Order: sequence, then C-alpha cells, then structure tokens
Amino acid sequence: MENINKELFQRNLISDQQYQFLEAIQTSKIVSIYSELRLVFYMGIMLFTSGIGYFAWQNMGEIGHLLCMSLIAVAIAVGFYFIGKFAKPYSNAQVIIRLVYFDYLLILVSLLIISLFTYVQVYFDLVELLINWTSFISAAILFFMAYRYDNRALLSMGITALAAAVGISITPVDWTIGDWLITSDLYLTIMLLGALLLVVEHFTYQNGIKKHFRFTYQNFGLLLFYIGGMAAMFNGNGEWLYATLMLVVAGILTYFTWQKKEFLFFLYSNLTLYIAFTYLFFRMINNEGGDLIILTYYFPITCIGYIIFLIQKKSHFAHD
Amino acid sequence: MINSIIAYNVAELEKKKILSEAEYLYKSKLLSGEQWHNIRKEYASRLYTPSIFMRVLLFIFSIIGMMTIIGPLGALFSNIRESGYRILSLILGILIFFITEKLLIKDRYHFNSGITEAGIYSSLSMIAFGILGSDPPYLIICAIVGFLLTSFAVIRYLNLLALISSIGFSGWILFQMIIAIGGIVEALMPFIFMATFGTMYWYSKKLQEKLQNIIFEDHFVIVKTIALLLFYVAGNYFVVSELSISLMGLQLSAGYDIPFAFVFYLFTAMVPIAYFYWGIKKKSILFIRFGLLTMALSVVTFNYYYTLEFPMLTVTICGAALILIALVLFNYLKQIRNGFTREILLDDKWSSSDLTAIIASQTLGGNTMNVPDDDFIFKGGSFGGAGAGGNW
Repeated sequence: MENINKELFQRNLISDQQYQFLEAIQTSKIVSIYSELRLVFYMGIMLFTSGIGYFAWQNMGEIGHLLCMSLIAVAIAVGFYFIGKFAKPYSNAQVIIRLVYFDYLLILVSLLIISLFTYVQVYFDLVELLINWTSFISAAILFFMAYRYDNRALLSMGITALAAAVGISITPVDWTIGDWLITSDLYLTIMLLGALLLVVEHFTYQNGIKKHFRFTYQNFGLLLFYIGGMAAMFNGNGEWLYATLMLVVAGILTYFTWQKKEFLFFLYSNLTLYIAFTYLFFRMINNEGGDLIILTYYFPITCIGYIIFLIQKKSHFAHD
Repeated sequence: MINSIIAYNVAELEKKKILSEAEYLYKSKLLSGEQWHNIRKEYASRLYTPSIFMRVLLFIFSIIGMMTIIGPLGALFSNIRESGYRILSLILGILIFFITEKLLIKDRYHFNSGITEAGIYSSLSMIAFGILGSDPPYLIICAIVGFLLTSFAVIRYLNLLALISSIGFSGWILFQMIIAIGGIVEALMPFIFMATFGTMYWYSKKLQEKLQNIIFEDHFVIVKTIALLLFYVAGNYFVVSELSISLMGLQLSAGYDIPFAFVFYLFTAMVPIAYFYWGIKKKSILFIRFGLLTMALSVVTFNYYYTLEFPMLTVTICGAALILIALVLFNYLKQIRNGFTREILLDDKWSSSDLTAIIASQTLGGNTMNVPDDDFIFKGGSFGGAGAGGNW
C-alpha cells in the first residue's frame, strides 16, 4: 500500500474535502513552517536576552544604571502592551490564544522582569537584605505569570526557581556534573518540596483550577520525591528508613497510577519500587557464604517474573 | 516475497500504520470522533504495542532479565575457559532469538512491545560476543559482524535503532578500509564520505519510490536524515581538521592549514545554504530543517576559528535578527504564499506542550536564580541564560 489518504477515501472513511486537504499536505502542495518559525523565534529570545544582559553588565559605567534600568522597563512595558492586546481575562480553564508566538512573548517579558528586579536589587544595595528571598520572589513572579496568562513553560520555570530557592538545582545538566547533593537535610528538603508540589497539584485539581497544569506538577513532584529519596537511600543516614518509605510510597503510587493508566508516573513509581525493594532485599540477606548465590538468581528471576506478570495484564495497557 | 523476509505480517503492519496515522489526524482535530471510531473498527490490528512508557518499562526489565541470565548459567559452568563462555553466549543468544521470534512475535503478535526489542538486542549482542570473543584480532571484523547482525535486525524486524547502528557500522567499515589503503585515498577521506552519504541519500530516495510501501516510511526518514547530516559533517571544516589531527596524526606547523582547507570552508558555508535553497524550492520540510540546523553549526564553526572582537555583541545582534526574521515571516505568511503557511496543519508528531514547557524551562533559565556572589550577579542571576551564550 502506498497512500493512506487514498485508501481511507476509497473506503469512504474520510470525506472528499478531507482527502483533498490531506493530499495537499502529503504532496507538499502546502507546507507548514510553524514549528520552524517558533524555533527561530525561541533561539532569538535566548541569544538576545543573554547577550543584552551581558552587554549591560559590561558597559554599566558608560551607559548608566538608570538608563539601563529604564530601557529594560520600557521593553517590559512594550511587551505588556502586546500581551494586553492579545490576552484574555483570567480563567480557571485552559485559555487558548491564537497568536502563534504569544507564549514566547510571555517568557521574554517574564525574564526581563526578573532581570530588572535583580538589577534594582543590586543598584540600591538590597542584596544583603533580600539574599534569601531573591529566588522566592523570582519564583513568585514566574508563578504569577504562569497562572495569570496560562503558560506551562513559565510554571516549569517557576518550579525550578522554587527549587533553587530551597537550595537545589533541578537541571539535568547539573546532575551530570554531579555534586548537587551535599547534606542529608537537603534530601529531606527535596522530598518535602516534591511532596508539596503533589499536594498543591491535588488540591488545585480537585477545585478545578488549571487542570491542565497537573502533568507539570506531578512530573516535577514525583521526580523530586523519588530522586531525593533514592539519593538519601544510597548516601544519607538512616537508609533503612528512607528505603522503607520509598518502598511504601512507590508501592501505593504504583497501584494508583496503574488504576488511572498514567503510565509515565507508573514507570517512575515502578522503577523506584524495584530499586527500593532490591536495596532492602540485598541488605536483608547475609552477604557471605551460600547466600551469595541468591543474588545471582535474583535479577533474572524477578525481572522475567515481572515481565510475565505484565504480559498477563497486557489488555490493561494496550495502546488506545 | 516481502512477507517471508519480514517477521511480521505485512497486512497487519499496514493496518497498524494506518491506525497510527489516523490517530494522529484525529489528535490534530482533522477527523471527527465518529470517523476515528469507524477507522478504528475497520483497521483493528492484531499486533500488540503498548503505550510508550509501558514499552520503556517492559524494555528495561526485559533487558536486565535477559542480560543477567548469563550470571546463573556462568555459575553452573564455573570452570570453563573463554571459548566455553563464547559457545554458551552463542547458544543463549540463539535461544533468546528463537523465543522472541516464536513465542512473542509469531504466537502473541508482539510488535515493538519493548520485550521484542530487548529480545532482539540482547540476543544479537550475545551472538556477537559468541562470534567475536572479548579480544578480536582485527577491528574491522567487529564492524563487519556488527553490520551484518544489525542489518539482519533491520530487514527482518524493521527495527529503527538497528537501522541507525547499521549505518554507523557501514561508516566504520568504510573508515577502516580507507585507513588500511592509506596514501592518497586517506587524504581524500572526507570526499569519499561525502560521496558515500550523498549516494546513500539519493539511493534511499530511489528505493523508496520503488518499494512504495507505507510501512517503511519511518525507515526512509531516518536514512535520509542521517545521510544529510553526515554529508554535511563530512565536509565541515572543524570536523575535518580536528579528525585529521587526532585520528590520522596530521602535524600542522604554524601558518599551515589542512590540505584542501579552502574547499572545506566552502562546503561549511555552502552546504547549509544549498539545503535551505533546495528545501524552499522543492518545499521539503526535511531540507529546511537541515538548512537551519547546519546553518547554526556553520556559524559555530566559523566563530570558533575567527572570533570577532565583540562576541557578545554578535550574540545580541544575532538574537535580535532571529527575532526579527521570525516576526516578519510570521506576518508575511498570514496568507499562504508559495505553498508555505505559518499555521499548524498537523500537530507535530513529536511535540507535546508539556515536553516543550520542560525543555523551555531548562534552557531559558529560571533555575540559576540563586545568586552565588556579587561578581556574577548579573551573569548568573539576572538573565539565567543557562549556557546559551557559550554555544555561540
């Protein structure tokens, strides 16, 4: 078979109009460069904001602080003019805006606000006063923008800023460099932040506030909770406690995510469950003598057994 | 004939492909719920593919399970030498292979279920270990065995990862052969690679026209993508000069450049433009994307060798220019011009707004807010460019 559109049309499964439209796309009679244009725009924002920030910092003496600040303020005002022109009033539901680059405009303005805020803080010597609050205020700005204008990218940035505020960096880039976890207090902080995000998600979802933000909250919340717990399990004190906690929580969440067919979160929970279980199992058995042979059999038996169990249940997670 | 080569039933594969295409149209809101329902009924496929996260989960557990089987078996035959382990691994590989083929694919209609991939990969790697051992005499034998095994997986199981690796292995074989011949051929290596990947693109296009089957669509996209990318990379000045120094031990004294340097500068500059031009002329989105990608790479390349006096100024101007270009095009393409439009026709298959949000949050900053010390207060704290500046 060579043409799906033709096949569907001949079997009367799509209308003539649909067929013509799909054929036009298939034969490149009409080509959408929506994502490409947005990518170019996004790259532009990234380069421009970092370039201008550096530039302002370098030439501070010549340009003058106040001028610099007012320039940023003007840029923000212009941005808000456009946002105001296209934005719709706040709503608890998802707000759809037809302007194709509206979300990137929001990000640009939010970043400019944060940079202006930092600028003001340094210029008026407020650093010492505000040092503990900077990240919280940035997070607050981002959260406000995210909720007011309904943007998930800003929400993600707000959550990362919040995490930065409590002293951790949740950038994948930094994980690979290592050194991101130092004290055992921090494990607990990470886990609590993760749990907090999950609680917030639960209540806002229950009350119907921005239901589509759910994924972002859940994803960050679960990842923080599990990674914090797992790091504590392997590095911290009281690893038994953490491992048991992980086992119980991941077990419960495995059940619920399975029920709700949220397979990404099922995946996270399940892997954590397996790691916690394996950890406890290995700690429990005696590492000397004949018990060692159990370890050799442990992985193939558990994995293959588990796979067989999942295949038995395959109708539950058939792709639909 | 095609039916006997491919392990799966071709008719079922076609159904599956139509179904996934239709689902994509339905998600892009081009089909009504009723139409989607009818199509689902009409093309219900027996092939079993779970959702992506379940596939990942099944894959992880299967691969751990299958790869660790060797442990207990090794414990049973604990006093054999390496040749014994090789035979063991070979037998085990063939066993897993038959289990995957018979039990999963033929009897239970698994198709890319995560378990099948794990079965194919682990059985092929065990067979490869069985053939090669831990210390093969010539490197090229590794490449040839790898190429044959992965090609087999591509043809019989239509596996995409195997396709990528088999192209990689073929490139490796070519490289080893050129090194072995040496002399003038070695000096012409970049051109040989460019010719090879150019031919690969051209030939895959011909083959696609000849085969005319929807089930191979993804494979051809991958082959073309790799061919176009490597065609550019093989002619890129940075790659050529770095590789000639590190791989072939070329000694450059000050003031001298690599052989044919001018040609490679020309390639670095012209290939992106050619891609872009071709993409616009032929209205091929693949070429337009590659035009953008290679253009960015070329800018990085030239910037690496000829740093301008004000790098950050360049960055700012580039950024402003990109924003402007995007805005102008957004406005220009309000109507369809030349067949190009700014509207979304179909949702991008690989994009989701949740994913985009996370990527944007990780690249645009928001995570570098904790102000470490006063010196860096503007660099780290204010804009959080998250390494964006360093790339340019």
